Amino acid sequence: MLLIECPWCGPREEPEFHYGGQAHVVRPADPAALSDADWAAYVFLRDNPKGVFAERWCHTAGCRRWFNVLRDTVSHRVLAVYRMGETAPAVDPALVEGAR
Amino acid sequence: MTEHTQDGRRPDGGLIDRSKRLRFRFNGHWMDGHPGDTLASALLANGVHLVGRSMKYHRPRGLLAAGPEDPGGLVQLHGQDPARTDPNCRATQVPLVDGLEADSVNVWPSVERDLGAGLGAAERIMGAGFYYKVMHGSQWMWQHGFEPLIRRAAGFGKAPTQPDPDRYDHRHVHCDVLIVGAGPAGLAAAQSAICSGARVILAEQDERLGGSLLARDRRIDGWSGPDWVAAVEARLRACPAVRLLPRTTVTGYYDRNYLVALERVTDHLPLDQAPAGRPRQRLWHIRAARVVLATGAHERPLVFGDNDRPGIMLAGAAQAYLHRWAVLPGRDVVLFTNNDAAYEAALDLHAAGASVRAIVDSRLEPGPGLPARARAAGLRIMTGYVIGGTTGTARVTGASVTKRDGAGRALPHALDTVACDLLLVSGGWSPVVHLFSQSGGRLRYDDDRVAFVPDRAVQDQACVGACAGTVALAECLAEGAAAGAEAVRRAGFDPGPARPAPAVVAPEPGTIAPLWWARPAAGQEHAWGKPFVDFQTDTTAHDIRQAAREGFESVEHVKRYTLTGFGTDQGKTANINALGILSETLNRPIPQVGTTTFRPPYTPVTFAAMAGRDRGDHLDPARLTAIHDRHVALGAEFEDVGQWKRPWYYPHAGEDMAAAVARECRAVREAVGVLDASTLGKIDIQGPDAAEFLNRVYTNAWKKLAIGRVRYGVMCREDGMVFDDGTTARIDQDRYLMTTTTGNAAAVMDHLEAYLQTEWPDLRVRLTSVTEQWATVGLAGPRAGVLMARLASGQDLSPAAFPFLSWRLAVVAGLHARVFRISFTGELQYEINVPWHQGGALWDAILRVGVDLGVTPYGTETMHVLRAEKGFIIVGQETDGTQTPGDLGLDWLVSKTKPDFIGKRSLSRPDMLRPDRRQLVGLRPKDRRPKDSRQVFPEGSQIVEPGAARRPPPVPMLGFITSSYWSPALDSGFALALVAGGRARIGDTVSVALPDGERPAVICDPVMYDKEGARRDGHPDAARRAA
Amino acid sequence: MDTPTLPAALLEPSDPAAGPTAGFGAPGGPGGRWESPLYPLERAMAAASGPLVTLSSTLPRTALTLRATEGLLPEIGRLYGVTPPTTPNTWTASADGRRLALWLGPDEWLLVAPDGTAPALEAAIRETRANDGWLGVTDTSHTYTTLVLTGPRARLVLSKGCTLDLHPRAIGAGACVQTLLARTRVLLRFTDDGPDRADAIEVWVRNSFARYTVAWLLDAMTGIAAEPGDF
Repeated sequence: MLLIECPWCGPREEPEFHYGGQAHVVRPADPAALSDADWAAYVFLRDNPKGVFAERWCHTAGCRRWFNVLRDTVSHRVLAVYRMGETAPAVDPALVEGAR
Repeated sequence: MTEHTQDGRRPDGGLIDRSKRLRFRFNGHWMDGHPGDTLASALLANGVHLVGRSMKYHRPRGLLAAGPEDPGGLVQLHGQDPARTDPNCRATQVPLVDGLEADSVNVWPSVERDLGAGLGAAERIMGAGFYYKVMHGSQWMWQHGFEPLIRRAAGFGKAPTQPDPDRYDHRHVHCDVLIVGAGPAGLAAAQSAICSGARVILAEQDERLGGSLLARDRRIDGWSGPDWVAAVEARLRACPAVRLLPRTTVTGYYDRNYLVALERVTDHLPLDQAPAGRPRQRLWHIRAARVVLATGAHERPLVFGDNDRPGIMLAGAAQAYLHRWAVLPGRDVVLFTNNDAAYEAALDLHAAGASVRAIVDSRLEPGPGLPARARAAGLRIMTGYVIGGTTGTARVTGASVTKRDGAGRALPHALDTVACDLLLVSGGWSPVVHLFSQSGGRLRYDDDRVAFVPDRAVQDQACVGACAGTVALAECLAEGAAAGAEAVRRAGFDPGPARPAPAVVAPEPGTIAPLWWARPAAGQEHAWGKPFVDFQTDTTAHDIRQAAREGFESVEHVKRYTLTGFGTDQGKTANINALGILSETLNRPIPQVGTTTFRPPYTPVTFAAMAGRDRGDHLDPARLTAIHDRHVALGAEFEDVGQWKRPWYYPHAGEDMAAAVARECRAVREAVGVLDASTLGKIDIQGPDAAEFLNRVYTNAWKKLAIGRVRYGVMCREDGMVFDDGTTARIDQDRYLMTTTTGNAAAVMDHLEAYLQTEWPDLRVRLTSVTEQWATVGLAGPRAGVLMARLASGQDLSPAAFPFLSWRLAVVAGLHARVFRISFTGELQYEINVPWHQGGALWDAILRVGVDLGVTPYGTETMHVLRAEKGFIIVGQETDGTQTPGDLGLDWLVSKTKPDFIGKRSLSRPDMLRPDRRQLVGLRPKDRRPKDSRQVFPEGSQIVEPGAARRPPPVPMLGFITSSYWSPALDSGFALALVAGGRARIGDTVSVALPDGERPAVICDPVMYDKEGARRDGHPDAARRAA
Repeated sequence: MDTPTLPAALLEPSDPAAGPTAGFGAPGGPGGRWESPLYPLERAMAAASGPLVTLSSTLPRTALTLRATEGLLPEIGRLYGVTPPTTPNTWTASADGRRLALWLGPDEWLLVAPDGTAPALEAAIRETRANDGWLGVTDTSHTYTTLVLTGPRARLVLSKGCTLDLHPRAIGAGACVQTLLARTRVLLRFTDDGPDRADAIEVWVRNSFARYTVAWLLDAMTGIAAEPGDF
């Protein structure tokens, strides 16, 4: 079970959170301008990396805020959390199992 | 009946209370033991070695070990109690209590004379992969021959047949340091971690702290092992920040130092002496800043012919029985070893008066420490010899000693047969790395120690003592002390000055050389009986070689093919030997063969303990509306909608469901019905950009909705599929009230918040859930207007003054209310919202005031019938996440002029425009037979072309039925269905495919009742009749 | 149209501040102005309470959910008598202790005030919109049932179904946290209002879950005296 640092409430157990998939997938400003393929890629295609993955979580049972998490998909270690609109912080590669 | 006495008990010593005698019954025989005994030690004290039978071959089995790793000593407890009986208990872990009843498992009719034992002769056909080959060979033989036979023969024990009457607790706890294992290393860690202010938990699976110090003759600072343990325990108990958890097994190690531990709270007490209200077991959920694993090591048996007889025991286990429980497990002893350390067992038994007949050492050159002491004690040592096989049935009677040939194989004949009643075996020690491995840590094979040891940790933890591969006691203590202090420091506390290293008296551990299998010479493989590797699943060395021969070379495949490690002991004594044999067979070094994954739980956890108090009514919350008690009083049957309990229908005396629903339907169509609609989700939307927000999340246009008006909308996800629907009212300039479906309320709230917070943070909109601020009661039917007028006297809420799709503030039955004119039934309908805590008062008033109008409570089933007659969808019933608004006939709700809304772009993808998409239609039985309820097609039925079922498969499916009811108004069964290109096929006859054949049905418009909507503002005739 | 006569009390608008005008009994009881979902459980709650832990419920109070930017807080504070806190998971109180502001999120608070003050308070706070454009305020007085646990083992009872670190070292009076208790979302408010200024923990649960939560708590309190009391 993950322990996730909510940027506001601090470390809380995974059941308090709702998973929101890959982070930084920005909704196109003008969907009508996209080709079918580009729109389908936005709706359906997501990365699935081994190692550091930026994903969105919402503290649904707490402050109801969405935020971003950098998680090592191999060790499940939460490497960093940062608020919506912020850019992902740098991660110490030594902490990433998925980089081995 | 055999009279048992404690012949095996030594006159003094041991950590048992000789002043008290405990009576217990094993397989119907009464025996004696003492407090401090386990069932295993008490059985051995009574001379009982034969404890059970093995799973596959029904071989007699005894006690191999003295702890949780024991594979053979499984018993059924409390067999007379159908609620509390407990299968698969390890006798080595069952504390002896007065009146305990235990029975062997897997035996019939008795452990001494078991009819399944003949299966042993069938090894050649029941080897590895037996099941797969039999199943593959003949399905008939499997189903009618082998499976019933195997089911009768196999399995461990009997499950209880009555509900568990005991309580099971859960606790969540956080600490700075969790120490797992209270052996010497764990105690040393605890000792250096306490009194620093740090919160420390020490979990020990045994009921006594001390670990190996209870099982060996050691001295620390001049104290005996048990005395040193008692002194440390006293210090720990004096420190308030320390939580000691004896009888607690840490069974799982998960992410971020989250560990689960099972405490046996009252299992060690007689059933009638457990204090009232106390749980039987407790599951601890522990988050630790740092974990110190001091889980010790398990001794491995050696693999040779017939190495499984009762009386064949691990050397260290015999020491434990001797020192801790003062039990001499045998008088004529042979030791078979590949290491120096095991010599200590022979020396200890010798000192205790047993006759050590031989020490058989597979190595040519034992080390200088303990072996020299054994030699000095005059014990017979045979180096370079192995044991090929054994004799005996219910107990070992002799060991056949032989030599190994030039290829290292055991000679096929005995050079000497040594009579014995106790054969000690030691193949070396395996660190208990289960938890370390579960935590994600990587293992490393250590050639010197002949074992896998922890290598790289990925969590905040330390491994100390035997768990880390450390053998010498002084080093174990030093490692523990250092790890405890380090853990405290990392948590931000000062551990204080380090204690001086204690003076330790312990033998040198010595050396070891691997011996995975005393394998007989080539061509004589079966010369020495079965060489068991896994005693619980009856896997032999032959099975592992066969698996490799048949191509199963990966250790994970071998494990599954041979079932090694699949027993309730998870192969604690078997896995490394299996790996060694596989390594020799494949001629690959062990590190290249790899090791299997360790998975939780370390030892079995009962379902009851996992469930805790999540049983019965506590399994899942039942959400109740403010009016719930009134529904109960009216005799309602309830339906689960999400977690809500909603009245399903209200049967009168003598009514079945169909009759009740028909009566309720008529009441709404002809008089007035009352529905508790409180469960619908409600979201208060505020902010200057609220209308823009609604415009983006709903498919239709919202900017022109006037204050006081209400609109219906559907929302899609980005894939263009309908996600939810409901009405939204404009409350004020910048304020709206959205309703959602009951089951989707939380999901819609999350969906909306996600867009506001992540995609459109610039929108000035705030959401607050008000689902439970309001109780909602719907009045529906031609007399609803009359009833409303009585409830809100002095206020004109007539359809003329209060138009459809608008809302008003009103005083209803004396309560401040918001009244909405919306309709899910097609009738004149008011939805009255009052503050939640006044819902009951509103309901009471409606029923009282409407008696003469025939006011009738109706439930969800009637609501479903009425809305289906009108062709209204229910999200989740007509939809399954693959329907666009157009598929549901809701094109009129999709704005063509809005530049964008969630899902809009997807609706123009080619697949969404296909004319053969499944579309919502109505369906009526072609041959209408009034009053024939068999004309209600089952929901989910498939729709095919007429005659299709008689054609060869595959039969193309046109679609399926989503809702199906009997309609009193239509006097007919009817259905809603999704049919390919359905709207263009209205009037066509199709077939509903049922198990007993096809039924013809006609596709029709989904709106089947009051198509022109004349009843929405109240039926003038009905209102007149009421007046 | 012939309209039957209703009891006079039913026909009058109820004044929220004026107590049980609806005429169907006292607050809390069936049919009352404030029918608590807990009335059938109150006897069991009293019976299960003892020196180690007590379980009760609070009297009705006004609650408003406030959604606002931090810039509005000083003005709301002047108006309301207490400034909503900006420190996550804390609550503040007015000088007389009758008005509370609980942090729910970085732009969300729960304002708790004496019963019957919701309409006036809501209207007044809505007026502060003028200065900073907008805010949201919603009457949620009828959304929650509030339980109170007191006693030296109150935290121990909660720890059976709450994953938070409830050790006094980690969470003390002045804290309020939203979390899960058993299978339900709750808001916990920690005060030292208990006997001898000891723990008193308010458990705010949405009404529909109230009976489940109380039944769960009663079960968790069973045998609590036989447990080691350490925490």
